[in-house]
Parts: sequence; structure tokens; C-alpha cells
Amino acid sequence: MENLYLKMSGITKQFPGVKALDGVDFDLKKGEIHALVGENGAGKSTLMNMLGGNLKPDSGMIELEGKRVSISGPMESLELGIGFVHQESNLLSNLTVLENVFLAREKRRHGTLDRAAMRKEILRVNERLGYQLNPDAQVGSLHLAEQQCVEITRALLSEPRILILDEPTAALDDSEVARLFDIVRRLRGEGVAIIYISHRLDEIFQLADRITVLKDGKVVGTRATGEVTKDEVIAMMVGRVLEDIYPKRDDITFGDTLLSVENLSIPGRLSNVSFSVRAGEIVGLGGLEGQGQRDAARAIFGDVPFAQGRITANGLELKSRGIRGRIRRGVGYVTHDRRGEGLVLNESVRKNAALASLYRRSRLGFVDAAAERREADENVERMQIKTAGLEQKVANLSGGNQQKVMLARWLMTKPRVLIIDEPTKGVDVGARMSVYQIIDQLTREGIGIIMLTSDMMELIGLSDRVLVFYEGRISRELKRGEATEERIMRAASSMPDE
Amino acid sequence: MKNNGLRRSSNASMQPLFLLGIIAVMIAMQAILVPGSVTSSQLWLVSRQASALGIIALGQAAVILVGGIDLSVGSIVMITNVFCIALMRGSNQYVLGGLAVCLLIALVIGASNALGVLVLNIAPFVMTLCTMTILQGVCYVYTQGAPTGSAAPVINALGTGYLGPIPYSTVIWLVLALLTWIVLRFTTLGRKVYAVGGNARAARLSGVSNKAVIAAAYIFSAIMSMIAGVIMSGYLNITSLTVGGDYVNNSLAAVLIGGNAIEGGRGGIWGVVLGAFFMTFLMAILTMIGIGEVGKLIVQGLVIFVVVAMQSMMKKD
Repeated sequence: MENLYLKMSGITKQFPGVKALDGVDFDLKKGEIHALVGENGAGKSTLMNMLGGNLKPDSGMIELEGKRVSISGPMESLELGIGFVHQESNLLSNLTVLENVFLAREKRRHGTLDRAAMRKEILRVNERLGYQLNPDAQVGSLHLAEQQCVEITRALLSEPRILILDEPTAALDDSEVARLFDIVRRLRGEGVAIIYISHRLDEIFQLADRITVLKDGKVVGTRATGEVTKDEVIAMMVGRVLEDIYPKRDDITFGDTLLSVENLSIPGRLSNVSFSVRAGEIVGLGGLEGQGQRDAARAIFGDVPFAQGRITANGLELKSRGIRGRIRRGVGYVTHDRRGEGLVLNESVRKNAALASLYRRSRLGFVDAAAERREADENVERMQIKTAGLEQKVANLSGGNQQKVMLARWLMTKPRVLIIDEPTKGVDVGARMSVYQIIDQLTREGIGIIMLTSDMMELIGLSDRVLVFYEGRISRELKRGEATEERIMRAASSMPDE
Repeated sequence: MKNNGLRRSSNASMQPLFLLGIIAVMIAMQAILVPGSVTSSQLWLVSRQASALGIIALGQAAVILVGGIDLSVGSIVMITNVFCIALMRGSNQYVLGGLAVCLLIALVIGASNALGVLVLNIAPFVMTLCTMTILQGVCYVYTQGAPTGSAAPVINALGTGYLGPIPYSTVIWLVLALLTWIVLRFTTLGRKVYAVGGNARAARLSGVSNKAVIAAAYIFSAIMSMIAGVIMSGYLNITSLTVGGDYVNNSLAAVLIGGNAIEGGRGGIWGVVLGAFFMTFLMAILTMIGIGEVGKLIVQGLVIFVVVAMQSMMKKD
């Protein structure tokens, strides 16, 4: 094949406890858009980081235009003609567009910066791709879509023959996505070979010429877009046909009220919120981001103070008992920010799981190590956490397994009510299903769940009752069956039903 | 390069072994440079010289584990030295009273450091720097720059005496290290120390009262410095206004050479014990081979640099 630009063969990479890539073959033709899909942790980023020069394969070969290359760093990757637009913005928001685009590659004349030449270069790329960036605008003041253009401009500076786009549409709205597609197609027309990573299959089917599916570090298959359906791709990703990923909960009966909140208010954030949770019930708190759901959850858990209101758990009022008092009354809180405020990343699975329930196994201040090991082991087993062992560092686990460690931590406190904030954020499809099953099972054991989620399908699929928040109030309460996407959206923006 | 994952995960436990290896090399070098000078009694003597630093470093290690830093350690040694000598007036009958006052002073200082850091939200570096400066001033004012007196005989014995071949001060040091290790390793408080240093928010959301844990670390550090101050008083038998001098730098160096992370949450105690021994042993060898004060500092700095650079290379590749 004379058009084969890039050929990666037998790429293998081992990380502590995980084989991130296992004999991966991947190739790229001139002027094609090749999509790379797979669940979180399937190995997409690892593979691309090898092209970007951030990681080296343990074994395997990378060939560019038939010549074997070894890419030892980002600069070398650029010189080989590989441009990389990363998933997370790598821009410095306090610098200008021009300064960002030319960062570490500034054009110089007589030892000083040649701003005029750099400006010209940016305008040239602007013209080529049909957008208008002001070279002197501060990046922090730009929209996300414009920031994306800055990243693309940066990647295109060295006239790459290969362009890697990692989740480029994650932060864009529909019209911005359309414009991005325009740009991508234009580049393809100029002969640039594009690797496109995305979770959004719709986009991939619109854009890509070929699709490669990765799962657990291996290639499941490479197909021309016209030859597969979306369902087939999903089945390849998940390794099974995706039916109903939410547990059936019609048969559940609720028990006593476990926790009730009356007239909870925090000035400027929450006003007169009242609701209660019964044994076995999943109460979903929905609505747009930042409408007070999280404030309510954190006030219930004692993390933020509240001005007015009563919170009662098991018949006892929780006023100023703090977080420790909540935990001892059987209230738990699984945070949405697992890495930032959930896990102690450099500690082991066992120590992370044990953290919230240390007091239960304390003997005169000493940790009852045998009991701790046993309980941690039971929960790792129950959650089916994939780990090399209890002593594995949690930092080395995938997002889904880390989330299960968080759940294990709270189960070890023997909770009556569990507040779960974004139960499946950053969790791949397979692990997501098992998180749902665990939550379902917990309610069947009589635990009441308060769930916060920004995922509409999750909210509808899992909640027995949906409370929609709008500007610090509950604007609507919807039972299972009543809760439809449209009703929730209307309540979330405070519109009446049709 | 190849097995870096495995290496990295076992690195924490490798650290004390690495230091033991370095110390063994130093012993061998001493034997070559000054033939016949390596004896067990010489090594015990080094351990006595290291004991005050070693005890201070235990406290420093605890503070660093919870994400802080304690610059007041040297000045606590100094103020303990001043009051120990002044209150005991060379007589055994005032020993208990003197010790009680020193302990009280240490508690107050440790609590003030904690208060400044936790309630007033002053950066640990700045807060303990202020404490250090104030305490130094207090010492000069109290003694009017010309201290007199001597230690009680019991304290003097503590600083200079032996239990069999082992100096008392070394015994105290190792017992304190053992206790610290037990607390960090086997108690819920130890768990909380690592959790607070590793991720303070996560610890709080798991019901840990971070402030109590951090306060405990500062108070523990002050008490350790006080104990070191008592030992130094017994060893010197007088008040010396320069006694606290190098303890801030050297205790930090001992903790970091011991392999603990400056940002907190990671590290152990035995590395710190060996770190303090290493620092003292290095000075002893340099003295023995007749390098002058100024030259010592240069060599000391270089050797510490090399050891730390080797450790950090071990961590990366």
C-alpha cells in the first residue's frame, strides 16, 4: 500500500498492575480520518501518547512512511510531522493566542521575538481553516471552541502530516462541532491523515473513514465506516450487546423513612429544601449544574454549614455533629471528585477502603489489622474490583475500579443512607453497569440512596423519585414512570409542562 | 528503565536499605582513610552525637507527614537548654520541677504553632519562623546574653552516661523512634496522619478531624525538640546560646535524606533515623580526617546532594 503513512505493529505497554496495551496494530493512510474508539482505560490515550512522544512502547514497532522511527519526546514527534491536540487543554490562559501557539517555538530575529512573523503565520492558518482568531486576545477570555482552534493552530504550525485529535468535541456545542468537522474535512482534503478519538459514535459515523475499536489494551477490530452499524461498534467496545444497562426496580418496596430534610436553607444557594429518603429508595437529585443539589448534599453530610432547617437521620436531629457525627449515624457521601477529594492516591486499596470506618475497628486506638483486611477483602470481592491485591496503590486502578473502592469505603461504615454524587463520572460502560447493580443491591438490603447526577439517562433510569433543582429550590418532584427527559428539562429551566 | 513500575512501588521500603548501604560504604571509607579507627565504641559515640538531631527529626518528620514544616525546632532546643539549666541550678532536687516547666513550655509552643497554622491560617513556614525568632529573643532577654549555671547531675548523666556499651541518649532516641513507628504503623492516628498529608479533603470527608491530627503533629514535634534540649543540656552541662543553631536545616535534611516527601503523606521513620545518623557520621569522618570547618560545610553539602540525587534517580527510572 503506497499510501500507508503510519504503521504501528505489536505495540505493548505494561504499567504497574495493568497491561495497558497488548500487541496493538494500527495504521493510517494518507488523507483519511481514522477513528479510535473504546471505553475509558481501553488504551487509546496510551497508544496516542506513544505517537506524541510522551510514552515509549515496551515492545513493538512504529513506522512512518516505511521507515522505522523511535519517538523520544514531544519535540521529536513534532519534527516527524505529528500534531497532537490533547483532550485536556494545554493552554496557558493568562497568555495571548500568539504566545500560546508559539510557546517554546517562538520565532526570533536578532535574538528578539519576531511578533510580526508569528502573527502572519497565525493569520495564514486562520485563512486556511476558515476561522478568525485574534492573535493578541488573551486565551482565558476565549470560548472553549476558540480555545480549541488555538490548539489546532498550534498543532498545525509545523505542517504535520498526521494530526491526532483526542476528544475534540467534549466541550463544544452543536454549531461549534459542525465547524470543527468542516476544518477536519478540509485538512483531510489537503492530504493530512487524521486520528480521531471520541466517545460520541454519532460524530464518528459522520466523519470517519475507518474505525478501530480498542478494548482492554487489545484491538477488537478495524472496520470501514460503511461496513458496520453503531450497535455493532458498541458491542465491540463493551464485548456484549448493550441492552438495558439500568437494573429493573419495579418490584422494590420501600421501608421506613431513614433521613429527612426540612426547610434546609443556605443564604444565596439553597432555600427551603425539604425531602426525605426511605429504606430501599433511590432519590435522584437532578437539574442543571450548580442549582443547589450539591450544596444540599454537602449540608446533609455536614461538610458545609446551613443557616436554617432540620436534618433528621433515624429519628435523631443532625445539627452540629459534623461529618464524623453523620458517619456514626449511618450517613455516607461518595464525592463526585474522586481524585481531588476522594482517594488518597498514593495509598493502597486497603487503606483507602478503610479510611472512613477506622473507628469501627479501633482497639484502644490501634487498627485491628485482621478485621480490616477481612472487611476490605469482602468488599473488594463484592464490588469485583480489578486489582492486583489489597496492597495495590489506588492510583494504578482504572476510574471504574477507583469508584468501586470509594463505594467499598462507604460500605465499610455500614451506612443506612448513602449520598452518591455522580456515581459513574469517568467510569467506563462496563464498570458503570456494575456500579448500577451494586447501588440496586444496596437498596434491596434496606439502604436509602440519594443520588446526584448530571447524566439524564442515569437520573431517569435509576431514580425511584427525581427531585429537580432550580435556583436552590426543588422545582419539581417526579416519580419513576413520570420522569421523562422533557419534563425534567422543563423543570430544570423552570418551565411549566406542556 | 524496564521494570520501573515494580521499582517504584517497592521504593518506599527500599529507602532505609539504601541508606544502610551508604553508611556501610562510609564505614569502609573511614577504615581505609584512618586505619584502625572503626570500632563499635566509636560508632556508639557517633550515635550519641546524633541522638539529639535524631529525636528532633522524628518530630520534624511527623509535621512534614501532615503537610507542614517546623522551623522552630532549634529554638525549642535552645529555650529548653536555658530553662533546664536555670531552673535545676545544678541540683537533682529541682529536676522534676524543671522538666515539668520545660514540658509545659514545649506544649505551649507546639499549641501556638498549631493555632497559628490551623486557626489563623498562617503558612507553616511563616508561623514557625515567627515562633523561632520570638523564642530566640526570649532566650537572649532571659539570660541577658550571659547565661550561667550547670545541669543537674541526673541530667548530666543522661547526656553523657552509658547503658552497657550504649549511650543513654541513644537508647532514648531509639525508644522514641520505635514508639513513633508503632503509632504511625499500627494506630488509627497513624493512618490519619498519612491520609491528612496525602489528601486533606479526602481525609476530612472520611470523618477525620484534620485539625486535631495536624495539631498533634506540631505538639509532638515541640515535645521531641524539648527532649533533645534536655539531652543536650546534660551533654553540654551549661547553657549555650548557639545550641539550637543547625537543627532546623539538619532535621529537614535528615527527614528528606530518609526518603520522606516534602509535600507530605509519604515516608517512614527508620529512614529518618538513618538520615540523622548519616548526617552526624559524615561530620565525624570529616573531622577525623582533619578537614576544617569551612571545608566540612562544602563537603557535607556535596555529599547530601549526591545522596539525594541518587535517591531521586532511583525514583524516576
